[in-house]
Amino acid sequence: MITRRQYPGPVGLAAGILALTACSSSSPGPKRATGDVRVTGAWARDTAGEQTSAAVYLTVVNGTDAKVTLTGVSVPASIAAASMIHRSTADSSGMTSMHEVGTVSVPAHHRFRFASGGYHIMLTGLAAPLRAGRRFPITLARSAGAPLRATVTVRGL
Amino acid sequence: MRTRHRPARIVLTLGLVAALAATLTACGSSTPKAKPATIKGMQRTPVPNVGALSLPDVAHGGTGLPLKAQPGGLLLMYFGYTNCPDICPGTLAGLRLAIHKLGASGKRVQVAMATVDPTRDTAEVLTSYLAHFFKDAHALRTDDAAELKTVADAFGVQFEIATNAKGEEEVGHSALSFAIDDQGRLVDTWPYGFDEKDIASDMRLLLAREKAA
Repeated sequence: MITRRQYPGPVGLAAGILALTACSSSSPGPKRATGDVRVTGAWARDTAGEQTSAAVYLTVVNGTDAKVTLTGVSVPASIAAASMIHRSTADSSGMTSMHEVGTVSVPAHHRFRFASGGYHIMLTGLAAPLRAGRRFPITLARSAGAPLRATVTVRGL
Repeated sequence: MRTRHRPARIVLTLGLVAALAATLTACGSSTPKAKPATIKGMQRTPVPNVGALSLPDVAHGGTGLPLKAQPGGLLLMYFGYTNCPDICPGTLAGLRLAIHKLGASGKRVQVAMATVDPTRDTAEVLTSYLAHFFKDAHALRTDDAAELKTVADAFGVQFEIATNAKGEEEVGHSALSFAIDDQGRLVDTWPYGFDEKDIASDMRLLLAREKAA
């Protein structure tokens, strides 16, 4: 509020652009081909009490000229018994269900955000609570090419 | 994997529609104008009063907690369940952050979560879950389905618990957070994903209103 009042025009516009970027799961990525596909900002919230499921959030940056199709996800059994790509969607009556998604496509030179309230990676059957600071590997399988690997950092409140 | 691990189905009713609306609004506003702060959450007309209702607070010996704030304070209310990977912890972490933004006034805000999944959320499970987010939260739990429904209805919250073909529980709930004043009035409603800064701003206005009254 205060910031907006002090710097009305440009900051407001920037905020709007940021909001728009944040709102779409898939948005334009690097303009030039960097020739690779990267996973950035992988994190999970630390778990509370005896919580047995958790969500992982991350961004897939496709810097290639080809579409990337994610087909699955996995984490070590020492972290969770199972992991899957999930998405919340609303039906025509406004009812929303969270369900598993088979594949996710990231167009060439686009980035795809897995973020709270939308697409996310759900871990079930946690082997142990996720504590802040802990790091664990995650692997995203794709329809073509080597799996994408990243390290998830558990963040505290 | 898909067939073996059928995920819990989360049904978000009112909450999602509102969240969608909020998101659209947020996305569309590129030129905000400076104006006096107003309540940004949803306000209902007439304002429902839930002060006569109560639910057992298992974090405090199971005595009934009347759904109204302490004098001059606010009671934030949420209906959820602990075996919820994304929306519930996201909501509670957001409320925690918003309360933190209030500084010393944050002491006038209390949080209560009612579990919609009392079978799995025992008193111990629910209490330890909430203790992760808040110092002294109210853990509301009842085995009386009718009692829970009466309270949820008063807030316009929907929930459903079903068992799928695999024998796994599927829980659905409205992802809304509520602010209740010291008269038991449901003065503000925030859909999931509502900005913590805006929740904090709303709470400042609501607390100031109570102080002035």
